Amino acid sequence: MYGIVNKAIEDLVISNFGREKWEAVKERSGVEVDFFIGNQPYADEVTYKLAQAVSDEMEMPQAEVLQAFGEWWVLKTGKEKYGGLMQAGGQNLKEFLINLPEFHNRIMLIYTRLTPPEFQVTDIEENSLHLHYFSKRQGLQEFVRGLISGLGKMYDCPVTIELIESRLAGHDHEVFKVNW
Amino acid sequence: MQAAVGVAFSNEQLNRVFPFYFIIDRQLQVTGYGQSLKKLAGKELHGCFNSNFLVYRPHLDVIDFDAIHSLSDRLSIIKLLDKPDQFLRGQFEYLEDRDALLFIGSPWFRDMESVTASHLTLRDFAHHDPLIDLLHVLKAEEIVNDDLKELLRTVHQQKKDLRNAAEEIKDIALFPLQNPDPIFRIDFTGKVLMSNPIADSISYFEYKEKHYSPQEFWPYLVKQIDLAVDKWSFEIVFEQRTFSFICKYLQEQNYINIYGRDITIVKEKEERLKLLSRIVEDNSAVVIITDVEGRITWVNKSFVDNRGFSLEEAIGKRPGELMGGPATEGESDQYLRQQVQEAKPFKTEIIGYTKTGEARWFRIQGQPVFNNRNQLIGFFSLEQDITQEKLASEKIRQSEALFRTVLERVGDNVWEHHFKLAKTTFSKPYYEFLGYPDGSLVDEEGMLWWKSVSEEDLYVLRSAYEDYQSGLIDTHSLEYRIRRQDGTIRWILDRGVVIEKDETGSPLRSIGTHTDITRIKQTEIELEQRVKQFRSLSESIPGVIYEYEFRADGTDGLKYVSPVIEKMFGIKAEEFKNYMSFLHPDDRERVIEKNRRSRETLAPFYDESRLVIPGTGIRWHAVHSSYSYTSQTGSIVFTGFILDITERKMAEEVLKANEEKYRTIIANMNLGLLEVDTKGIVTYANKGFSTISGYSPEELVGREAAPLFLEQEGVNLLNKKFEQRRHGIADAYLVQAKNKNKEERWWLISGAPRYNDKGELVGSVGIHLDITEQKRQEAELVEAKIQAEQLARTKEMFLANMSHEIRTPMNAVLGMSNQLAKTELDTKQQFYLDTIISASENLLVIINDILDLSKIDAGKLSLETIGFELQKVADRAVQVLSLKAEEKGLRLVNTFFDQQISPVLLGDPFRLNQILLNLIGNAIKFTEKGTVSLKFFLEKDEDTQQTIKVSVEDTGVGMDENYIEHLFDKFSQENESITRQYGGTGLGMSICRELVELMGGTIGAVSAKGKGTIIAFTITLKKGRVIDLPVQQTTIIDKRFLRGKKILVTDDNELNRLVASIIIKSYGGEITEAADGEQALELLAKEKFDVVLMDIQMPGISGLEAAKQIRSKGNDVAVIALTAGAVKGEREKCIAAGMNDYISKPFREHDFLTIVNKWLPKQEAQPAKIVEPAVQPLYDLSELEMISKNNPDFIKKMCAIFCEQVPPVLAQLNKAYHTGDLKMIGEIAHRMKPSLANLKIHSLKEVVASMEKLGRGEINTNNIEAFINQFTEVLNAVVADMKKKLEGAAVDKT
Repeated sequence: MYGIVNKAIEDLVISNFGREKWEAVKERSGVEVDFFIGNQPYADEVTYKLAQAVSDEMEMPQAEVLQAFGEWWVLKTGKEKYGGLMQAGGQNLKEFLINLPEFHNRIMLIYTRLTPPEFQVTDIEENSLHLHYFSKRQGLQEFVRGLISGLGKMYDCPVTIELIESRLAGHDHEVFKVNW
Repeated sequence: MQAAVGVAFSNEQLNRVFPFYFIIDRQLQVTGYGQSLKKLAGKELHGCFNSNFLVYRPHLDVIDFDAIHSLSDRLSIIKLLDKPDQFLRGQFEYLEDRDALLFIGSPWFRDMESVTASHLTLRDFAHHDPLIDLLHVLKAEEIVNDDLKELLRTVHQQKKDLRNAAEEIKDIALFPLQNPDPIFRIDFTGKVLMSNPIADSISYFEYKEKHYSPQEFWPYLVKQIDLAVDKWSFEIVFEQRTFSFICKYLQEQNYINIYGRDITIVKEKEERLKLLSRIVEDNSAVVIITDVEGRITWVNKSFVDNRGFSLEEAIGKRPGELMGGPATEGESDQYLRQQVQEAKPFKTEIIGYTKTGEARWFRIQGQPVFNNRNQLIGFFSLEQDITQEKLASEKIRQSEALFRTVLERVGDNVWEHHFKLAKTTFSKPYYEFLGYPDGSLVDEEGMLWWKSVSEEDLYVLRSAYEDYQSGLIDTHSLEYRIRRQDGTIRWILDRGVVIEKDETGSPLRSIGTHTDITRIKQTEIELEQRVKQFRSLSESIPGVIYEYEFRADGTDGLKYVSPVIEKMFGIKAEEFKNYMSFLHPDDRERVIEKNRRSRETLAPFYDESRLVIPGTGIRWHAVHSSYSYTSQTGSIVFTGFILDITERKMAEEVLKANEEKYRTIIANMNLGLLEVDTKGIVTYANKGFSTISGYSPEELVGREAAPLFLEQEGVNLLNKKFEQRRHGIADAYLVQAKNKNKEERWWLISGAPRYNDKGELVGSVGIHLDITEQKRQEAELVEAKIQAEQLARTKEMFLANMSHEIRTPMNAVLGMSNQLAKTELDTKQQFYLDTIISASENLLVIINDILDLSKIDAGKLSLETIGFELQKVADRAVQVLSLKAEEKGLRLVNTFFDQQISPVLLGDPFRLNQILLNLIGNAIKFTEKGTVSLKFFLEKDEDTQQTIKVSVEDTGVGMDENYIEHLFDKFSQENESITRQYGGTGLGMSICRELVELMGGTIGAVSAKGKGTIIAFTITLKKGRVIDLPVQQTTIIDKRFLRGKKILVTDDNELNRLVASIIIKSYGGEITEAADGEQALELLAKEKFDVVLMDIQMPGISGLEAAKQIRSKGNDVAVIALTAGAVKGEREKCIAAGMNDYISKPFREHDFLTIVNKWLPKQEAQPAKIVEPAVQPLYDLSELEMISKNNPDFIKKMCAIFCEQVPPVLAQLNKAYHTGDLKMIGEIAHRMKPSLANLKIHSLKEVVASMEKLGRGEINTNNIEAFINQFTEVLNAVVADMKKKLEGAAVDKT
């Protein structure tokens, strides 16, 4: 993953728990990288280790860590660093979610060494849609859930998220039904 | 070959692929454009190209179709005119078929923010348009740049930190903070720049024997430092530690580093060495230092002084050469040589010689000396001249031998103990001690003695031994047991003393003796047991054991008192030794005298005397003692015991007193004592019996007693008593006897069987009391009682009859008066009638008083406690009697009424009224001219009660002082003439006194004959409130409440029938009269009645009998007794006869109606509300006539005004009632009061007063509805009547 992801985790921990805690997390994770550079790719393992260390250090289930990180990614990293880009994604939550697949497809082109997930949108209703999530990575579905709820917060639009299909349940990808 | 492809886009497609396109025709008119361009422009695009766009690059001189067309092969940048800084980036294409130019491009943004500022989103761009992605990449670059900048900053910071760290490390190397020695860095002013922790701990500097604080020290020191010298050092002392400091001046850094070191130990070593050298040099002992060969290298001053050789003479010689001599050689010399040869330490005593050749004893102690490499470098030895010591110890040895010999002769056994060897040796007899024959045992360990000591006592020996070793004792004397070989136990006295100690004072040797003290010990133990026995005995017997000694010097006193004394008298044995102080003063002289006699004659001592014990009182004690022994000091010792005889003494006292008492009683009562044998023959008669019987004892003894005094009947009785005595029964009985003079006497005899000392019956004994006189008195009393009871019955009968006779006419008087009151009366008539009624009622009360006299006597008269207004009671009393006073031309006035008296008090107003009437009546009776005045004083005002003094003063005849005493007695008048002159029962004052006392008060009189009398009483009454006043029952308006009711009045007295009939008729009832019970029964058999009123006392069938018969016939008609008999129990009799209720005659109309109403058969639920009938005229114009002097016009006018006035008033009243405005009700009543008075509407008098009270909140609102109704009804009736009369008058006129 690109350094920006790990950096976002760093920011999340420092902002909420202080630099000492971050050092503890890093110590626990065994990751020996001092400085994450946004556009440099790092092994996925680094990100997983950091997430696991946060979970252990904070005594939080990993799912919660990932959700928190998803929200943080949208509300802090996305909004602060790519504010305009995010806004250009749509005028409201629904529009943004519908644009999400193309958004990611473009990202794939921009970040050549990135293997971003692919999204599809189906069953678009007045107040809901199905978001299909295809990823080579395992175990990041809760991160996606956090992303969606973060988007809901960004657009000031409360959402409920149902995971209706999942690789863990034998499907080939995850499907989230997003209601607002 | 490539085929030519012709593509034609629909507008929709064009819009999707190039959403920012626009088309212009040859006239440069915009003919089409993309949706996203419209969104970007924020408007529809109309008209000419030039009014919407500007070709920004490349520059065109002229803007026309061809010029723009010429841009087709170029990148064109078009500016939106309305949007400054908004560019489109693209190219123009000529559309031949339309002869138009198509612009294909997209907007150019510098950053993502501008995109969103233009309200464009991803969707507004064609999918192939990479602009957004470009911006994204730019953004990512920007972020990365930020990251890199931060990274650079971090690296820079780290570099800086590294540099600082290097500085610090260098500094630490120079100035190690963790150094265990103090380090300071100071500048040239003496300011401390740095210091390590150990340096900081130095809180002061002792430098050259002066104390400095760190602040003082360094500036002081820096002045001393010579900067020219590279290193400079000094020493200081801090807390007994010495520090050496080296100052290092660092010119470059411009400071001085000062390194310190704790040199305390080094210093100490130096000091010690110095000291040692001095000690060795100055030591009194001789010090010799030799080399390896044993040649002397140095000797100290003592050597020179002691041996006489100089240092020079000694050096290089061996000690043996220098000081050896004939007596030197021997074991010690050998030993020394060997030790030196083997380089070992040595210690010995040897004889040596001085330079003068004198032989002396030396104690030599030495050791080899090694250098650091452990090489032998010589010997060091100390020599002490012990010649004197040697001589002394020889002397000791000799004297010791002598001492031992002596001891062996004194003790049974002599022992010697060597502490170091822990060995004891014994002289011969020791073996005998343990029962071993001489020589049969070898005690090599020397422990046999210890082993023989009995286990219980071993500790004694051990502890003494330990004390010796620790130097606590030097001698001992112990007693303990040993077990001999044959198992027998012996007691040993073991005494010893230390005879030799080492230089530290620890014992080396002790000697002592063992003495067999078995026999002494046994005696001692026996003695001790005896003492214990004696003590236990003396403490457990209920007497105090004591020893009393008469000393040779003439004094005497208690030597020993057993502790029981404390239990016995609460005096400690020690205190009691001063027994004389406890002895009762009256007994002291006797005891002293007895003591003297005992001392002189050695006769046993006995005395009973009193002890005065503080806090307890007097106790008796008996003291016995007898001579016991004479002590070694010559004291004569008496041993004895003390007993507590207080109880015995007390019993004796009581017995003595009782005997005295009975003796006196028998003597004074003239009791006769007679003893007879089993046959009745007199065996003893005392003097008292002689007096009673008239026979002398001599005449009586030997004669049969019974026939002498008794008739046959008495003899029989006596025989019966004898029989009883045989059965052991004692009793008392009465007999009529004849004395010697044949006079009839009554004897009360208390007889009992008499036994001899074997318990056999030997006869009987009788105590005789002559009660003839008492008998006579008793008979008289019985007679008197019968008479008194008869008299009382007669009195009661008389009173009952009198009551009945008075009540019957009184009923008529009161009843008729009440009827009269209902008729129209003028003011005077009303006044007279009121007085009649009031007087009648008072008379009734008086009759009741007479009847209740017996009650008063028995204390059974009870008083009411209700609220009343004293002022009203006073006014009423004056009102009742004013007529009487007026008749005699007297003034009767209530001259003083203390306004502080509570308006409402709690008590019995009727009895109070009775008292006042009596007192005032009396005063009027005995006053011929002048005034009778009534005064009420408030004597005492408390929170809840008031004490009031009421006095009645007259100017009458007055009384004698003697008579005043009896004034309040019953039936008392000063003299008969007074009775004749003034009449009266003489009961009045007595009743007054009884009533006042019953109220808890007092009454008294002051009088002077001919001047007048003041009678005053004082009573205390509780304060009451207005609500305590009984609510005055007013009213029955319902005149018809008896309508249709049939009532049978049965009374033999026609007047009474009349009274009842009038009342009942006036309420609409139907009356049937019966003159006796028989008639009533006849009527009841024929007719049905609602209520029967039944007199009790009737000729023929009485009321009670009639009632019984009515009930026996199954008739349940209500029967109400009417009786004039107010005798107690009458009511119960009536109810028992089957009557329902009871009315006492005379009755008040209201009470009468209430009871009749109560027993009326109830057809409908009618409230028992009784309102007086308005029989009296509704209103009366006489007042108006009087005022107007009978002017009819005026009267009419007034009536008309009244008639107009009433309806609005009633409306207002009605409103006030419904809104609960009590104040208004009061005001209306008050307003109407004058009109009502003028019109004499008496029926509303009380209602109006009550309404006023309501308004003031003085009464409760229970009856408010009745008041309003009555007020309204009466006024409506008055108005209706007036109007009728006014109209009539008008008609009359016309």
